[in-house]
Amino acid sequence: MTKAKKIGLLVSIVLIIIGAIIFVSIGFNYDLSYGAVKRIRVPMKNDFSLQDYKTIAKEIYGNAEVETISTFREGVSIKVKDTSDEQLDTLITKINEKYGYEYKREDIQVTEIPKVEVLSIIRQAIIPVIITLLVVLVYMIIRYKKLGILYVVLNLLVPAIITPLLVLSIYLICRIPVTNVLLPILLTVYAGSIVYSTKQCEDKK
Amino acid sequence: MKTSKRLKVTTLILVIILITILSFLGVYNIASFKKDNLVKSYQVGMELKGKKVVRLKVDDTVNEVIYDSEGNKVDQKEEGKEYTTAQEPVNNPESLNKENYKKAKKIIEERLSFLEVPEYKLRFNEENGTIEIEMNNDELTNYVISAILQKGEFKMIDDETKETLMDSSYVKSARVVYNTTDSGTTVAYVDIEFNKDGTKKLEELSNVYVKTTEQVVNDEGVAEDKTVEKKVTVQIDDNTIISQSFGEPLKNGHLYISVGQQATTNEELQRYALQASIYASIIQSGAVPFEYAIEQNDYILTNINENIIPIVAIAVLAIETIVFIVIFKLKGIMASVLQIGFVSLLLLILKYTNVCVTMEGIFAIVLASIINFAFIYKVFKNTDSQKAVNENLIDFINKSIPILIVSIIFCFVKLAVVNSFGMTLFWGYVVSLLYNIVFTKGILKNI
Repeated sequence: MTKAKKIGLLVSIVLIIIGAIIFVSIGFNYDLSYGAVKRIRVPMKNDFSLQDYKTIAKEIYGNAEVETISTFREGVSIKVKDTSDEQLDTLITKINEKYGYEYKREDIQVTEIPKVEVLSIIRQAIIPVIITLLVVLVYMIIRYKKLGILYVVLNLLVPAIITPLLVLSIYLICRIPVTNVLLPILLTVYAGSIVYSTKQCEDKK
Repeated sequence: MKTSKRLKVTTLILVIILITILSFLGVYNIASFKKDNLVKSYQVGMELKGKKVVRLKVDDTVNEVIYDSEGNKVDQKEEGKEYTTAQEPVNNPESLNKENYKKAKKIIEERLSFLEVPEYKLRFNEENGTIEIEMNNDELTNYVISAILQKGEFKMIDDETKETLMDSSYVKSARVVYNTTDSGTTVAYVDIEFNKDGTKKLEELSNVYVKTTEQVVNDEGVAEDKTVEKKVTVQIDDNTIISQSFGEPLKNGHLYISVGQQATTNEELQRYALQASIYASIIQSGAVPFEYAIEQNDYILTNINENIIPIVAIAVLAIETIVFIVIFKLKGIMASVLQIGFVSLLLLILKYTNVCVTMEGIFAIVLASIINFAFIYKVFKNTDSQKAVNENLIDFINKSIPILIVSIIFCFVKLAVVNSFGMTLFWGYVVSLLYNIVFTKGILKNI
């Protein structure tokens, strides 16, 4: 192993340990689509522009996820971290001003939405990943037996395990919000590590 | 360059242009009022089209229950009789605690897994037991909702006395099986496998609950045979699935319950099979300790749609094109054309192979594009490009086997997120290999 690789491995391990500590103590930083948020459900007639709602929600809450309810545009779902009575009143006033409605507080439904656990997202892929890792390991041990079993095992397992953990640690350390791209990133990194390990073995063969 | 070679190169480039147009722009029927794109659309996951959001809350309904003078529950009051009424909650307050909420979540997850729901996101509030599930909205969604909403108390009772004979504590597992009759019709069954105690109990019941013939004396004083049938009723949440007697002693611990009629069409069979799956999922996972009610059931349209796929592809191609041109100058244009052709063909193949493209699939497109980029880069880096194609193709195949194993195994996973990644990566490799043999090799050989 080259000196650069050793340093890289050491830094990765340190980052993973820091990430593990943050995971236990603070946990992940969630965004609106995965975190514990509040959903404001505004019933609508079919005459609204989603962009208007996005603008109104942004003015009041800053960060808000606005989506249309049903293909028949029955309403709007506004996801926000939290909302106060004052903010809700402002929202209703702005909607009424914009569309000439006479909405009151009781016309608008606010529900608390629990978060989606990161582990529940990752768990979906764990068994397939383990199976693929074992099958690839057997294949590589047979194909590259001249390189030595230990070399092949380490060359495959170290990147395949460390790189996804490193990605999770970076998410934790840098407080990157968990979104729907986390699992795709982890799968891509895992597949990339397999490509890298194969290349290493082929080049050394 | 000879004319024949020039012709070959021109033809291949024209084919690449055609593929790119088909893939990114499509073909429109101008005569049609709606100007439909004749090229197939992508099949996409819930993050790229819309999702069903079902919010389940612990049922807090309080019902008014009527009791007669003997303390029996009655449905309606009759004149001249004395009744008492009581306010009774649907759920026993003692059953509403964190432990049971967690148990309910686990049971619902098991049902979702049993029903092989390909894509879902589950949110859970352990303080009040509220569960919100986001899932794909398709023809199966309503079946899934009905399965997760049921409490799922499985019982086998005496049809006459209503005495409980067996419950879910005797069940080991449940699954759906099919049997095709001699006439060619297929019947869907729920196969309930009982545990050791259940097997014994089932054998006992199968000896008792049978059809027998007794001799009785009729009104005219003549003795005659009368068939007496002792039946067992199988229930889920007090709803009868089947009521029957046993034809023979059941010693193997399996009880087969037919669902629906004999199916003569695929649609019928699918309907019965789905119903059987719901029963099996409920019996297998056990009963939720309390009842849930639907608080919200919305279809929410996402802000991103399938257009994100070509947008991401174009963004990746733009970066790759810049890199090629910076490195290879004029030759880089040809490398870029080849790379654009590959990505376009991959996108077209994904449409026609009905791969469900999720966010994971989009990332797999990017990964496949990078891998093909690396191949073309290596080929163009070599001064003898034609020789390099052959060498690199062999090298490419050798290096591809492990990642192909990964993608093939992922293809068999039912979960859309993993399946989409695997399928896209698999097609990425197949297309890359064939494309480079036909186009990259073809162009470099004649250039």
